[in-house]
Amino acid sequence: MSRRPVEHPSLYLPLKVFVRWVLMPLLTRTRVRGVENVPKTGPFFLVPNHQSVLDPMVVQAACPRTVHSMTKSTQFATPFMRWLLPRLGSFPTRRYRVDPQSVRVALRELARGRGVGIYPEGERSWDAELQPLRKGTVRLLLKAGVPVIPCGISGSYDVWPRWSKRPRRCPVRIQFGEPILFGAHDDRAAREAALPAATARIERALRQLIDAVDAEEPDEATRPAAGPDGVESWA
Amino acid sequence: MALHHVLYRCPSCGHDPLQGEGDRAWCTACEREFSRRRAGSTIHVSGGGASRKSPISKLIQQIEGHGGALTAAMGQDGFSIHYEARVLAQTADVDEPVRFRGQVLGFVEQLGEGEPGVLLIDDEALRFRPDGPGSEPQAWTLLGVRAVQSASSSIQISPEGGGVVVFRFESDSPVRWESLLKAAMQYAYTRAGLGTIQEFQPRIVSG
Repeated sequence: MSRRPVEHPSLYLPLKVFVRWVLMPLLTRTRVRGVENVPKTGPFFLVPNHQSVLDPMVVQAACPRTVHSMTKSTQFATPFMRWLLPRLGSFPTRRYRVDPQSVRVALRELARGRGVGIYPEGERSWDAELQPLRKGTVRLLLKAGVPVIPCGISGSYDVWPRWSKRPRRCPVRIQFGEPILFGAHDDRAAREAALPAATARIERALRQLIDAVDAEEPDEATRPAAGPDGVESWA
Repeated sequence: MALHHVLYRCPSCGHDPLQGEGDRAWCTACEREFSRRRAGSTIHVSGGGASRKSPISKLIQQIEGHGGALTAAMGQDGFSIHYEARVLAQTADVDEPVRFRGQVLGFVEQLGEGEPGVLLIDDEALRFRPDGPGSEPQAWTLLGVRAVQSASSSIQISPEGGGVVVFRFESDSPVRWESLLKAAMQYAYTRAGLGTIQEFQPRIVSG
């Protein structure tokens, strides 16, 4: 028998407070913009770019609504994580196959009026650049027909890139973009027809948000030196 | 993982492999050094009489310009692939449900015990030769692999017949291997007249 669903997973708010007031000040100087773009009520998808293992924590700490995140299944490998992650609102997705259960759970959470977080690149970037978006993710966004909130993150790669064991304190900037409304595409053929334009639109929105936060504050530590023609060259 | 796993050959001279430890890598051929001082996206490059900063994305592009992962893997004939590395291999044939508050949230692969051995790739297949004397070698044809993805310091493949196989590299670069495997699969698809692979996960899509 299923129990009555709760609005906030039990450990979500305590972890959010910890991340916002303890972890983030230790690891980053964070600037957040665009929180007014997150719907105050009703379902929505939050779609950030993905630079670092920190992204889910910092984005969810910055987002004014609770976000239930689609999380790679390997994160649930240990008994402790299998206990913890659901209490943080996460649910698993198997990335090595088409996973209809993760789609069902996402749609179920949306039907309850909640926010669902999904990273359309599918994995962390190796080089801090935006990667091609996964078609399956965009298909899910088209099927659901709820507002899609793009979220640009810049700087989390600088703090903790995928290849490094060691985080270092660097500025992180997050900007929530204006909602994108695709409408519901119930028909498979309609989703396939809309897929290229929808993918391009989300990619463009993410790039614009990332560029906007990068342009805010030129940071000497993160800007490479360039020659007179702006091109880095070997001696 | 470490810097020399993503910069697996020298961006400057192309020498393969780059040596390294932690956030520092160096080339034994041209003696350039690459290091992260603070921001992960900016790599300090020194040696050869100069010192400057470069975006890591640009260094990765320079590696691709030198031939990426393929140069070291090419045979004497210039087009067949042969490369190997030591790995720990794990297989999951079963997915276990994750339940919470009376509902199934999803499924998680149950990986078995890791088995050390050698992973080889050639034009036809990915092959695993375990160290254990009683263990049987395994092979997966490149055309039979259903999905490829990287995960932390490993690569995962979904073979024909289901399940997932994870290869964790003892010292080689998972970035190199992902690049190599995808290139080898693309060659196999092209030879078989199956077109260009457009996606590698959650399943191979070609057209």
